[in-house]
Amino acid sequence: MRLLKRHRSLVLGLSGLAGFLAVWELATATLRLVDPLFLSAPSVILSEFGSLLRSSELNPHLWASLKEFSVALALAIVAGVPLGLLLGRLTILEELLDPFIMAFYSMPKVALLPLFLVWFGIGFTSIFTLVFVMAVFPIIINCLAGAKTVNPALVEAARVFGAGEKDIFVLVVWPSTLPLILTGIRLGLGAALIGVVVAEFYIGNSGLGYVLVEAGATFRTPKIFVVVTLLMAAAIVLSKWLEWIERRLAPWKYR
Amino acid sequence: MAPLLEFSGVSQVYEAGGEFTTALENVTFTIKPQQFVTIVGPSGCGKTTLLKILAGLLAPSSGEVRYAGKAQPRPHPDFAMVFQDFRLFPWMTILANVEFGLRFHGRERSHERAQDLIKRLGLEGFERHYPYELSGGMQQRVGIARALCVEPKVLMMDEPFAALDAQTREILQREMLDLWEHDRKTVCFITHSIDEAILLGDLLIVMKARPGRIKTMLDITLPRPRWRREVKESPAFLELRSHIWELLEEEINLRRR
Repeated sequence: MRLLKRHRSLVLGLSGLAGFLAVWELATATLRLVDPLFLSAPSVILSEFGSLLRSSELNPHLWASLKEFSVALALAIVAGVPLGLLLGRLTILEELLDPFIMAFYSMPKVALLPLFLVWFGIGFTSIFTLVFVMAVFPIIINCLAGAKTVNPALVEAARVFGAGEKDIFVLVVWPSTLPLILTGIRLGLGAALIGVVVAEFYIGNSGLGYVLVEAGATFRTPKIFVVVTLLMAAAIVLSKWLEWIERRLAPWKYR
Repeated sequence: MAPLLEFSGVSQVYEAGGEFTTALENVTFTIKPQQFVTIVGPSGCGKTTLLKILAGLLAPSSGEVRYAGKAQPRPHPDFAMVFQDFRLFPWMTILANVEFGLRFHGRERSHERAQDLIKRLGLEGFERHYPYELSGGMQQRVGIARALCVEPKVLMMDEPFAALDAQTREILQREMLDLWEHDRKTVCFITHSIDEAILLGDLLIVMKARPGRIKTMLDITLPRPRWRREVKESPAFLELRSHIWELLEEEINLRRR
């Protein structure tokens, strides 16, 4: 009972999920209320997943997507974090670049894909560029905000006790900015995942986006569900993992 | 006794949007070693500016502050400060906050002293906690421990108890005095509470409203400890209190006109 209380939200969440799957299974596989072309039963999706695993059919596509995703996200972090921090510390630069950042941050960046296709042709470079552009702006915006949230009163307190500029950066600026850097990365990660799938819809002979389009065109509904579930799982695992890191590194932010 | 701290002709002028504001004007006074100095004044009288100059955070527009005969253009290792808004580092544990100042000026990294202060300030058991998990009163205890941990010769306190409730304030005032009796540091204590200024100070400085100048300096010779009823309700205490009240009232009325 005490265990139940402590993990109440987990237990309730899992029960809800199980109930949902049960109703779904009942409606599709048992009662056949829905045409399987539209909605596959969970058991069918599971067995499709099994056969896809055995045939290793998905593996090259998983690798292709993972490569695009991780290379573009890594570069977005490497470029976005320092740029965001710099913009946050240098008001002149921020004011100079603000219109561009606001425009790119707000716009639906997938609209740029046709342009990238014209520039870079059909292939990895176009996908990479779209994913990078989608991931980098949330990172820049959050790092910029993070650098601005450094409390000058704390900087002053550190200085009274004898901290120099380097100490202030390491002991005050960096730890107070870190949570927002991680938030930026988490949001960039979600955007990058969207970018990969959308880009692969259009460009493609590989990747999970391509598999989705192809499965749809050939009416392989269970396969669509398998890929959708995989993407869902990847997004949940990655963002929960980053959230966990954020909580570990910045417990005071989650009082 | 030779003065430990000398303010001579200290003035501070700020410029904001083309307008000049004089925060301090020709402030001159001295503080002897081991003296507990309390400074009261109407808000905006430059009390905090005065402390910032003393701390070496701010260079005065003119005049200078000398510590042990030397000018001090930057924060000095013999100084520590307790802030009104605590200013603990939220990402550090209580222990790390208390030990914060030991990283600088080549100070000895002594766990023992930090532990001793944690004990003396009733923070035992909270070493691994974070500031947000503590009440305001407890947070300010950490602020005091952090300041004392560097073994300062001069302790600056900027309205340290103003953000606390009346009861906590009284408890911390007493503890502060106990700690002070223990090692008699030179203290420069800013407050807007007249009672607090009388209870704690050897020397009480009343400031004038903007621009900040010294209005009066009073030596307080009431017997310590002063929170005893026979002191706190003595005619001398009450007289002093109403005298300072009148002085401050003049300033407030002046500003109103």
